[in-house]
Amino acid sequence: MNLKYFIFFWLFVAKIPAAYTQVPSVGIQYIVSVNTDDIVMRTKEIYSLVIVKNESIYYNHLIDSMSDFPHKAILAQPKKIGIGTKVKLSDNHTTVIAQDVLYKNYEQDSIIYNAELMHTGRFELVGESLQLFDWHILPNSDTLILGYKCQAAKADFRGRTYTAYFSPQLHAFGGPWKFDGLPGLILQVQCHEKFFVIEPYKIVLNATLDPIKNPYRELSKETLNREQYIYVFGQGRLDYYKFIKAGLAKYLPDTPLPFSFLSDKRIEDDMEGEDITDSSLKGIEERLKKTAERLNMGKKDNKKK
Amino acid sequence: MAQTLTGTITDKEGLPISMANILIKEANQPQNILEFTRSKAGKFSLTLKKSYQNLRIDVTAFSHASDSVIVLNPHKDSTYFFQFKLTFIAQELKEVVVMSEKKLIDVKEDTVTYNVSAYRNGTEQKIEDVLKKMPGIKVNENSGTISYKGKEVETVTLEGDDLFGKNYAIGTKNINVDMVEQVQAIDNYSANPLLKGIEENGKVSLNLKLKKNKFDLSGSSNIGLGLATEQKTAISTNNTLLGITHSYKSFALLAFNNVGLNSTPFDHFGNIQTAERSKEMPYHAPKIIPEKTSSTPLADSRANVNKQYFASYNAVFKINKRWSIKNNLYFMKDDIYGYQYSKMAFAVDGFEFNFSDQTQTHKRPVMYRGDLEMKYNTSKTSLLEYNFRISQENIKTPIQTRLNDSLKFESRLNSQDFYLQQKLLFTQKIGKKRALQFHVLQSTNSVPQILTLTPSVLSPDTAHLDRQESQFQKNYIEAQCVLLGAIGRGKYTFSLGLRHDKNHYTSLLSSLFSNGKLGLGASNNLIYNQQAVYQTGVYKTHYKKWKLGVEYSVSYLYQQLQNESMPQNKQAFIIEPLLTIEYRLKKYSLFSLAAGYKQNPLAQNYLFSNEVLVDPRASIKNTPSLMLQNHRFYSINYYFSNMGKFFTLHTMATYSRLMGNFFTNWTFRERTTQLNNFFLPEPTDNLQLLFSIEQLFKEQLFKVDISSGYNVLSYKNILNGSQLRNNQSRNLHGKLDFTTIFNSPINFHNKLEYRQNLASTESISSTFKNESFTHSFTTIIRLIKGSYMAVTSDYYIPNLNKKNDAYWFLDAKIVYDPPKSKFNFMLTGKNLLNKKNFGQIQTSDYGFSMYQSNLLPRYVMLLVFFSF
Repeated sequence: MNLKYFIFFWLFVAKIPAAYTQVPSVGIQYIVSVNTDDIVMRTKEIYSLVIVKNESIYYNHLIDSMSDFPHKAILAQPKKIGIGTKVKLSDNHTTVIAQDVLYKNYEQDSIIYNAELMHTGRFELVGESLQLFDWHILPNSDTLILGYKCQAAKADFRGRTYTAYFSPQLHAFGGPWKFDGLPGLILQVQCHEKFFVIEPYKIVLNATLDPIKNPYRELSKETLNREQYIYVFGQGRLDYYKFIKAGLAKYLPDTPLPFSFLSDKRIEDDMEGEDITDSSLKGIEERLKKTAERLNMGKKDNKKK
Repeated sequence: MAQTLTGTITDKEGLPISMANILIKEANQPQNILEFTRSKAGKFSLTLKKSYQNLRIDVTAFSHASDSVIVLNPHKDSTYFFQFKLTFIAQELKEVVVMSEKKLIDVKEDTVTYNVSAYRNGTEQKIEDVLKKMPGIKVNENSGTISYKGKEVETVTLEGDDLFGKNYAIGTKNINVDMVEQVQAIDNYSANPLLKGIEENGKVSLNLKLKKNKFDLSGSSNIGLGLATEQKTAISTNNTLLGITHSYKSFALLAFNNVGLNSTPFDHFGNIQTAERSKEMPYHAPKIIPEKTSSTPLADSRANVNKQYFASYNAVFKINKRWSIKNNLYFMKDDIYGYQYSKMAFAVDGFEFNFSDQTQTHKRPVMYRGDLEMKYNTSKTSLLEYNFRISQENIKTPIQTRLNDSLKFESRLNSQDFYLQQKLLFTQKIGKKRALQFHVLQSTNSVPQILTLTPSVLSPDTAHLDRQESQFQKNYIEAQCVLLGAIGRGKYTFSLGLRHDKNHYTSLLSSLFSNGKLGLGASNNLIYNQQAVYQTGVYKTHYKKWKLGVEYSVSYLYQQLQNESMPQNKQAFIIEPLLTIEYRLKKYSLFSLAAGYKQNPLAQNYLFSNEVLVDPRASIKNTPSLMLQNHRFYSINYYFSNMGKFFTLHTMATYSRLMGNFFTNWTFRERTTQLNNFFLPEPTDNLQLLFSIEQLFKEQLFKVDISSGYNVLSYKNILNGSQLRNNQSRNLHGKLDFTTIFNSPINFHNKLEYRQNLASTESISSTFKNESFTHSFTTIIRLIKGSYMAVTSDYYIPNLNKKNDAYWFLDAKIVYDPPKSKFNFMLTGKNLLNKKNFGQIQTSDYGFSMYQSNLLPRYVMLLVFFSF
C-alpha cells in the first residue's frame, strides 16, 4: 500500500511543473521560515504558489533533497520511510523530509493537503474549508512589497496571531499555505512570535500554464477532516508514549513534531502538561475514546480503502 | 445600526460572476479597504460592521474591468441593492517577472529591517562600520553609542537575545560584518516579555540577525603587524568566537592594539560617559580629583597613543524553559601616552595672566568586571530576575608638568574604583493587561584617590612633596513597587518607592618637608545622607492622531550634611510634573511638545568646604549648600521619517532654565588657580536649536546628510573676587555629508564641517570669537574583483583667522577579499604625512586658550583576516 501511494504521489507531483498549457496564471515564489525554539530544527524553504483560474497549488521544491536545513553540513544517514526520507541531523535530531503539496479549489471552497503523523513517517490526506481565517483588515495600505502596494490584515488562528499583507492589484484572491480569504493575493505573512514567516522573492505574472488539477485525485486514500486528522495524530502520539514507557522507543522512527502539529499552538499548549505516567496515558486514552465516538471513528484510523 | 448591502454581479450578457470581490471603502480614501465580501454564483450580501459617512463600493473580478459606486450619506439601518455588470477584458497579457532586488530596507509596522550586504562597499570590517551607513541610525565615533530615529538604543540583541545590555559596543565594535545578514531596528522594545502590550516606554533597540551558516560555532581573527615612525612596531589583533546552539549563545573576544583603536565600550582616553554610566549616575560616587583626559576634537584613532588589551566573555544559557543565566566578564588594560602644550592669555579686572604649560601623562587603567543575571519564570505569569555586578578599576597616571616653561613638577595620580551592585526584580502579571513589579537595588561604590606632587606646590621653598588623599564612599539602597497596566486606549504606571543614599567623604592634604616632618594641610571629613520617599505616576493615551502623556512625581526629600564646620539639614516636599503631546500630522510625520519641571539636589559634587588639590595648577573648595536646583524645560520637536523612501528630517528647539546652581569664583594667582564653588539662586539659561535632514537618492545613487545646530548658554561666574558676571556663550555648528553609491569602480564620501564659538560678558564690550573648519574627503576605488582601495584626506583649520595654521592628514588602505576564501587582507597606512601634534583654540568669557596635543605617529600595517 505504501509503495503504491508513494509511486502515485511522487510520479504525479514531480510532474506538476511540466503539466500546464495556455491559461494566464499568477505565480509567486516564497521563502518560508519556521523558527522553532530549537535552532537546529529551524528551516528555510522555497515554496511556489501557482493560481490558475479558480484553483491554486502550493508546493515546496524539496524532492528527496536535504538542502532546506541550515545545518545541511551535518545531515547524515538518510533512510526512506513511507513517502518521506528520514535524515539524521545530529545526535539528538532526526526528521523526515517529503514534498508538501496543498491544493485549493475556490469554487468548491476546499483545501486538500498531505499531513504527517507523529513518529510514523506516514502521511494522511486532510481536507479543510478555505474559510479558516476571520481577518480584521487594518486601514493603512502603505507597505510596498516587490513594488506592489499592500494592505495589512490580522487574524488569530489556532493559538497564534498572524499579520498578512495582501495586494488587490496582483490578484483577487489566493495566498500561500492555508492563508486565504482576503480581497487580494497574500504576498507576505508572519505570526507575531515570528515562528512562521512567509516572504515573497519572485512574482511571475501571465505565464501561460495548463489548468491545475487536484494532485491527490488519483490516490485511493480517503481525505480526513481536520478533527479526524487530530484524532489519528493523537493515536500516534499515544502509541509513541506507550513505546517510550515500554522502553521500545528506539524501534520507532524518531521524527520531530510535524508542521501540521506545530502550526496549531493550542495542541502544543495542551501537550505541555502531559507526561508518560499510567494515569496520564489513561487520561489521553479516555479522551481519544470519546473523540472517536463523537467522530464515529474506530480504535485506530478508521478509514475506508 | 449599520447598512446592509446586497446585489448581483454579472457580465454584460447577464451571466453570473463568482469570485468577484466587493470592497468597502470610505469615499475619500479609495486606497484603503475597510471591509469586503465575495460573490457566490453572482450574488452577494454584506452587513457593514460600522457606519460610513460616504461609502464607496468597488467591485473587482479576474479578467473583468472593475466597477465602483459611491453612496453619499447612506441611511443607517437601510438595505441597499446593487446590480453590477462587468465588462470582460480580453487582452494579450505579456509575461512579467518581478524579483526582489538587493533590498536596502524593509519596513513593517514597528520593525525596520536593513539588509547588511546592500550597505557594504567592501571596506567595512566590523558591523559598526555598516551601521553608520544605515539611514536613521547614528553611531558615536568614539563611544560607540547608537541612536535610532533620534533616540538612544536600549541595547543591541543577537538573534533576539540580549547578550551585552547597555555595553552593546562590545558586539557592534567587534562582530565581523561577514557574520551578519540583517539589522532590525525595533520600536517599542520591551526587555520583559510579560510587559509586552502593557508597558508604553517608547524604547528602541537593534537586533542582529546572523547568516544561517553562522550558527553552532563561528568566529574571526585578524592579526596586523607594521612599522610606525621612530622604528616602533605597530600591532593589532582582534579575535572573536561566536557560539550559538538552542540553549546557549556566547560571544568571546580577545584583542590587543597600539594603533589608537578602542575595542571596549569604555572610554579612558576622552572620558566620554557610557550609556550605562549615564543611566546609573545616582549609584556612583564622583571622582573629586579628575582623571587626565584628552579634549581633542579629532577621532580617538588619530590621537589615542595606546597599548590596549581587552578580553571579554559574554554568554546566555537557557537551562530550560524557565531558567536562563547570563554572564559578562571583562578585563581591560591600557597604556595611554599623552603630551599636551597649553597656553592661556586673558585679562581680569585690569590684570593680565599668561599661563603656558607642558604636560606629559602616562595613564594606565586596569579594569576587572563581572556581571551575572539570572531569570527564572516562577510561573507562566511571573518572572524573577536577579542582577549582580562587581568591578574594580585602578588607574595610575604619572604626570610630568612644566609650568610657564620653567617650573618642573612630577605628579602621580592613583585612583581606584570599587563597585558592587545587586538588583532583584519580581514581575507578576495580573490578568492580561496589568502587572505588578517589586524592585530592590543595592550598590556600594568606593573611590579612593591619591595625588602626589613633587616639588611641593603649597610650600615650594621648604617642602619637597605634597600629597592629596581623597576618598568618596557611597552606599545606595532603593526599593520600589510598580503597578503597570493598559486600560482602553491608555497605559499607566504608578510606583511607590523609597531610597537611602549615604555618602562619606574624607580628604587630607599634607606636605613632606625637607626636614622629614609631615605638615598637615586642609582636610575634609563629612557624611552626606539623602533619603526620599516618592510616588510617581505616568499615564499615556492616544486618540486618533493625538497622543497625550502626563507624568508626575511627588516626593519627600531629606538631606543631611554632617561636617566639622557647617552641618546642615534640609527637608523638601517636591512635585515634578511633565506633559508631552504628540500629533501625527501625516503618516510619516510627528510633531511633539514637552514641558516639565524638576527639582534636583546638587549637593553631592560640592560637599567639601576645605581645599582639595586637583593638579599642580588648581585646587577646589566649596561653600556647601543643600538648596535644590529648579529645572524648567520646554521642547518642540518635528520628526519626519519615511524609511521606505530613505528620508528623515528632524528639527528641535529646547529651552531650559536652571534656577539655582553652583557658580565658580575663579581666583587666578601667578602659578595657581583656586576654584571656589558656591550656590546662588541665580538662573542659567540654555537655548538649543537643531536641524538635520538625511536623504538617500536611490535612483541617482547618492546620499546627503545635512545637520546644523545653534546653542546659546547664559551663565554666571566670578573672577578674582569681581562682581557676579553675566556671560553668554553662543555656538553655531553646520555639517554637510555627501556619499555616492554608484555601481561604478569609483565612489566618494565628502564631509564639510563649520563651527563658530562666541563668548561674551555683559560688562565688557569685547567678544571672543573662534571659527574652525574641517573637510574630509574619501575616494573608494574598486580594483580587481574582491579588492578595494580607499584614500582619505582630512583637512582642519582650527582658527579661520590663521588659515596657515592648518593640519592635513592622509590615510590609505587597500583591501583584498578573494572570492570563496576564508582569508582576506588589508594594507593600511595612517597619518601618512606624519603630523606629530594638533592644536585647537577654545574661547571663554575671559579669554583664549590654545591646546596642542600629540598624535598617533605615522604607521603602515599589513593585516590578515580569517573567518570561519
